[in-house]
Amino acid sequence: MKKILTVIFSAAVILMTASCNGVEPNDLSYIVALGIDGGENGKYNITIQYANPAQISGGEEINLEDSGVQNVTVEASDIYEAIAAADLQNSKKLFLSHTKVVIFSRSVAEEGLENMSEMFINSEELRPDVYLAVSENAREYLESMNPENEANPAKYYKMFFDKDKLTGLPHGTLKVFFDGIETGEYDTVLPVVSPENEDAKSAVFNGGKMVGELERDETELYKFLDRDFAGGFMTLQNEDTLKKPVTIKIAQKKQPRYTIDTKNKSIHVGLTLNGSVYSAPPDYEPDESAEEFEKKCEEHIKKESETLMKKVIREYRSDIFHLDEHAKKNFWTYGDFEKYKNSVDYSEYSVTVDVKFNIKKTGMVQKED
Amino acid sequence: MIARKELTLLTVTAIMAKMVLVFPKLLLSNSGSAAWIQVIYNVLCAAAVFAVISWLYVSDKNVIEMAGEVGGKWLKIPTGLVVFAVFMINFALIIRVFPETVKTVLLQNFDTNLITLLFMGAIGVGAALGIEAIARVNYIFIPIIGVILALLIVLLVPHYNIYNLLPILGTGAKKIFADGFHTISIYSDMLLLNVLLPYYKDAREAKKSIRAVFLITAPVTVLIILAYCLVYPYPVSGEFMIPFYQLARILHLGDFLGRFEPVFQFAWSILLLLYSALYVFALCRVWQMTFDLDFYRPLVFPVVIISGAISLLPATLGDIVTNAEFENKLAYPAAFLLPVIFGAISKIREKKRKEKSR
Repeated sequence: MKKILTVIFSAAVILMTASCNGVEPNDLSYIVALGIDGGENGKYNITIQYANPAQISGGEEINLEDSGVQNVTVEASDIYEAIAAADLQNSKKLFLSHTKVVIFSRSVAEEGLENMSEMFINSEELRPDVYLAVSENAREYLESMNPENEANPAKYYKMFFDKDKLTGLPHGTLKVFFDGIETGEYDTVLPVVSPENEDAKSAVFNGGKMVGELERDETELYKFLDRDFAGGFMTLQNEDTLKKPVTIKIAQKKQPRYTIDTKNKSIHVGLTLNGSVYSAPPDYEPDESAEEFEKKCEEHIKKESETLMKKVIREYRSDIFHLDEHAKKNFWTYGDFEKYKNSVDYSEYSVTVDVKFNIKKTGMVQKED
Repeated sequence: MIARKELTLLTVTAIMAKMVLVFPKLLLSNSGSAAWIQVIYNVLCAAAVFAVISWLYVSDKNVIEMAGEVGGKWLKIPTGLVVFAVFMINFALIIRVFPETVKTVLLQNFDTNLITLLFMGAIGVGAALGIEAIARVNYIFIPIIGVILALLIVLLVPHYNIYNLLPILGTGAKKIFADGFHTISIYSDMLLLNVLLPYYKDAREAKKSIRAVFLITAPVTVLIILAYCLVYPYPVSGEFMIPFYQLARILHLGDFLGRFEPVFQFAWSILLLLYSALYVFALCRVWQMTFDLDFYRPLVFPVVIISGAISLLPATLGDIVTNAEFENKLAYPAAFLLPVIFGAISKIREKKRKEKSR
């Protein structure tokens, strides 16, 4: 009996070493990005961008002018139909599990992404940390991509969208987007990308629909007001340095503190920022006028933040500042919170932002709060 | 002879296997963001019940042997059948969920029936090798699984959002403390420890084992639920069939190592294979003790076939969760009451014996 079992197990070890579904890694095309544009008759024009392994694996045959990716666009109702159609145009089988980013065209984002995000989150292939972004034309954006300083396109997208904790790019992963829609406790901001990667703008959503856009400055302010900001540079001007601005490296060590007073209908945000002067005009001495400069910065950020919050809350009627989520601590149970959530109108609330801006002086580790 | 620590870890495996499958979903569906409070409440309730059992149970014999001593075969057979039913209810859920989830997360192009067949074959072999083999393999792998679990919980820290625990009482106090009492069933596998009593030196050793099981499983159970609640907000958290897998999915370990799922899938598969082999062995032993049979091995094949057939009763994975809720309510009263009843009998008999000897 032992001999028979030994033969069976040895045979299994030797013979069952192939992949279980008979598809070898060499027979697969790895999708790195998907682009979804509006189509006709309720369908979408879906661009599938997959890696070109010959260009990213190294060796003598690399032609630097060739892209590390290839694109194919098909008309389909969803990504799975698109992959099935694109498979017919490709010798290798398209594989979705390495997708790093999904780009939606503005028109598709404005129509709403609820159904699509639900399908994506339930997909076993797509990961919850896939990045989502918006572009005027998703196909054009993907076709223009030819990462020059990173041969691996998957790594390129990862590095590009991983900058979301610094100023500029909002944090927009599939999980964050889907959780926001499903819980109804906040709305999401996604990065707006363009072929030239010009200004870092952001798309503001209300539920699953894109309802507006934030400019680059507004996006930077939003990062301060959101909880995911880590650090970045900011260029400020005041009357002392009208022509030559002061560059400050900003870090946000404390998360913004939101207080939502449901009785008096007011929203208060406490913002603490720490900065150090990186460059200043030669005739300007930041140490001497630091306190005054801090005050001016605080006033500037306060004014701009309040304007931004009012614009988003009243004009876009969007909760990108997670106001519902912050209000949750006022309630004991979901029943009570749901009642509040369904009845609250933040456009009736007053908004105040208090900013504490500490600039590190020469010789000091950090100014005390 | 099996060491006490090996037997302790077998019970830990039995309890933890449920936690990595559908059990968190039951907790979250009931109390939402307060699932972690519910699980603390369940642990405290179970600890109270087992404190009572530990105090009452002074015999070195398990409930089936006790039933035979007290009421002969007329009590022994029904008791044995109740224990068999409790084990089967606990086990049938796992035997069905495991192949379904393996198909979903690992072998998408495989037929579920084939996965079930391979799985049943593996656990049948495990059970036939005996409790010593299962206990020793389990003793090797449980610490590795523990490290993987700890790693998962720590690596998830950047994904934790404290707001996901709010409102603090979730769906309400009544849901947590009244309806949530049923999920005490997570500790119904402790009956296994009673059935394995003949493998302990004496009842005192088994009691030490109970304490150790609580010390290990209570914090781990609470931490798993807490981590899941902190990562996924309610009601999103209640939507996933295998919450533990969803936690592993969101981790990215850098460009070189990449994903955490393969590590998770290794730990998860080993844990469930050990759990299932242990349960097939326990079911055979219960049957052997109930009907005074000489050998348990001839029972392995029929038990595997019967449990496989029972596990196929729910039509879908969704039905399994609904059934799990119902079956838990059915299984845990018996799992807790039998040791209490026979514990009380053993206490009375011990008292009488002492009085006589005086």
